Amino acid sequence: MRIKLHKCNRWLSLALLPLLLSHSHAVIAQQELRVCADPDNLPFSNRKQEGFENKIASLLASQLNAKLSYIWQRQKTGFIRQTLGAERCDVVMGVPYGYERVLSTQPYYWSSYVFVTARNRHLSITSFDDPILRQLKIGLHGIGSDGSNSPPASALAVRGITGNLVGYSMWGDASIKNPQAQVIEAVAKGDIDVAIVWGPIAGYYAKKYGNDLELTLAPHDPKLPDMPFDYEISLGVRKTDQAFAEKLEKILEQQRGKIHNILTIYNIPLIQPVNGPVVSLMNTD
Amino acid sequence: MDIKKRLSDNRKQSGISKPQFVKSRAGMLGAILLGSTSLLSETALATDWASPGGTQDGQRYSALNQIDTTNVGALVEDFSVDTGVKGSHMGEPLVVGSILYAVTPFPNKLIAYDLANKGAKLWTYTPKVNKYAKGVNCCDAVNRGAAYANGKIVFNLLDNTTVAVDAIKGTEIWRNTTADVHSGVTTAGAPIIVNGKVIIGTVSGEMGVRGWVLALDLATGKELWRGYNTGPDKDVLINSQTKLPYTTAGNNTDLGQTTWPSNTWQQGGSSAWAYLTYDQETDTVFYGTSQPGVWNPELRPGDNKWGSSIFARDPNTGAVKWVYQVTPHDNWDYDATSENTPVTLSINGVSRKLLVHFNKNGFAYAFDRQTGEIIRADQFVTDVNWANSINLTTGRPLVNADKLTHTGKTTNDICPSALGGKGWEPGSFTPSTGLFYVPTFNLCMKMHMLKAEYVYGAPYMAMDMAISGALTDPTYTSELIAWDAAKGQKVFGLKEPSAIYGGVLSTAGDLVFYGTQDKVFKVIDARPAQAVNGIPKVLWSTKMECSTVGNPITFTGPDNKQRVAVFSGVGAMAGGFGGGACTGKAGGKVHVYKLP
Repeated sequence: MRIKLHKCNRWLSLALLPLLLSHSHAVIAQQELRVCADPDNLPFSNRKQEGFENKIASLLASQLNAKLSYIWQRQKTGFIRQTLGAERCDVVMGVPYGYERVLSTQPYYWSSYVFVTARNRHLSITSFDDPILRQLKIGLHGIGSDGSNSPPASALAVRGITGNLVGYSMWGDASIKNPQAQVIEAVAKGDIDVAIVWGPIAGYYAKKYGNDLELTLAPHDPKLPDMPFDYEISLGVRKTDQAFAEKLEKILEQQRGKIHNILTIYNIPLIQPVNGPVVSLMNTD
Repeated sequence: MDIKKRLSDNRKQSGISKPQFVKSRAGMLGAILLGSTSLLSETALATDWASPGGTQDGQRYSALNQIDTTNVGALVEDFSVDTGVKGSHMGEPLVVGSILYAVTPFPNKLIAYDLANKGAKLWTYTPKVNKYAKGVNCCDAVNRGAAYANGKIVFNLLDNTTVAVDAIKGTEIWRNTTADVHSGVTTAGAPIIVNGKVIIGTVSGEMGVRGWVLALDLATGKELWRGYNTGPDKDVLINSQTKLPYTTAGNNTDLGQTTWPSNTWQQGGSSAWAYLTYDQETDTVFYGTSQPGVWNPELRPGDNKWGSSIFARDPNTGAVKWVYQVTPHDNWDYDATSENTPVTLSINGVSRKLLVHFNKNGFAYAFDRQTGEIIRADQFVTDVNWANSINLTTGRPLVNADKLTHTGKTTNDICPSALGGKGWEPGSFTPSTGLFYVPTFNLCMKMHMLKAEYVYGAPYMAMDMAISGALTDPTYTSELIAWDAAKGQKVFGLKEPSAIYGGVLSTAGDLVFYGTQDKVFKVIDARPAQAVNGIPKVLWSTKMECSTVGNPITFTGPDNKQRVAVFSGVGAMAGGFGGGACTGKAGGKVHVYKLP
């Protein structure tokens, strides 16, 4: 499936970042790669280091010839301030490219919010203006604090599609093993008709349902011109760690194949940049 | 000695002789008084500070008057003690007998200091806390204090465990975990102890949880009742006796469910994380709820009850006596977590049992505390523009449509800011002046969407909120105001360039104590007659090593001399808008002041 995407100003924002250098952290990082990560957030990371971010962190550490260590912290509001900001670690494995609170490296993967439906329903939703959305039960993750929402939630909000939403928590009691998976399970069980979920979560938890579930890119919404649905994800370091960022970028570039393999194993839906115009391929296998 | 009688008189008396502790040979305090728990069962002595608000009604007023307007200028530091924990020290220490108790930020240690020995540390209770909670809340993991009754110090750990600790021995008597920290719930509020029940509320409004309050048996820790703040009436504990002012009879069933689209009430936020208060006369517990969550306002059309609401509950059963939503369909994070103080005041010659609440939305409400009817609602800060007034017939604000927030758009110059005209920082009330002393913020904000954030593994577009100086006069951040709740008028005010981010203490010495974020701790004269051109006299101030985000308390030491104490220690969150994070190497401190 080939989908056209808007242009990303990836070079521009990096050029604007202040060129502040700090040697101390880079030196520490050579001996020890201190990663701040969520202790319970698959497919990204967990304390047992089973997430794809854990695997990529191991790869980085081995390339840096550094010992890998973790500071575990729940990834919620205040995460950056309390981790990189408090100098408790040197790198955060996933931030949107250009994220202003950190210095983000060149992105190492590109994914998108996706529609998750049962393949045998043949819903093939391609637009938020599809009238069928008003008749479907739609599952979403409640993410932000008040006033903050996922892009699909906002797209539904501006259309007044509010009565048929089913909210799923990203958090749950310990009795619920993977609370983030519930919204995907609900589609598989037929409790809801469609889930609109961030790609890596959707791909990972949909994997076990094989061909029964269909993932399609949530399209860019013309009513929300400034709101992307796809995000390029980078490593994040302190804004003062320019040299360290460059070192990491070099490794990301050298290890592109291995990183892609890791992401594929976790069934992360990837938008793959191709040469020429910004046209991309979505891989949902 | 008739302790009960003395308790009831404690507002009028001063210089009450203090019950004494003696040290046993083992160095452990043996209880002369605390051992016989009935003596100190429900209410504290006026010489102690045994509940978060000093007294159950949360007036933060003490009848102690040794320190007064004539001598306060000579106040000196008696001693200070370290807590050994960094971060924001919110809430207040407790004093019972000759022990001062401090609960620290995470890992929520309880430390007992000997007031007979310059604050020498007697013991530290270090609870087992779920490590997960640290991850959920980590470095700004505050605690807003403990409560004392029946020989027990009771407080909440961050991981949703409430513990009762033997006030003398420092040993754990019971613990009860009331919510799974994995669900995003944390508890940092102070409990209140009423009729042998410990009443607590949830903290996290932002994590998509559904708020509640519950009661635990003081003796055993067993859960007795739980009332949710959103959902159907049976969950909220609304029954046929409940008064629902400003709703239509016959059409007001399950409003906590029907004022939300679909099942979004299940992640409706509306937690109860600040101070609960209790009115003995009507046997009612009061608290306010935070803003509705977790979806942005356009995704939850409707009033979203009972977010941003004030609850009156029967402490024995949890049943709702009345509930009123202050800000329907809260767009601005105004919530209603500021404390609700029962006072009886004369309005137009008629004595009224009031409940006074200074809302973040910039209006000061005086309710009939038995019915929830609004008697007055008056603007108490200079810039309020989200609503023009509160309609006393409908009970609804007259909202200014220009100040609603919209997805993808910027709304400028909304006043007050999301910090509120007044936030969670508790004010005080002095019976002799009949005035409230209220820490206010003089700030506005702009809100707009569309800022890429990445939380818990998913990018989303966050609301960006920029808080700025007020429109009329941006030269000051905070103002300590004296407020006549009967007339709905400011009587005087002291403008502060540096924010007041902590509570206020009133004493019978006509004094009002509070701190500002420039490390200053000060006293003003409570009497309106002493104010010049509407500005009160500053009678004393001192510079601490670090600012306070706590609430000052007063008590008498074992020498029967009045003391005043306050936490210092500011973590990243509070420091972010104040004077910066600061705690010494040995952590936060409790400063204790006395007359020389």
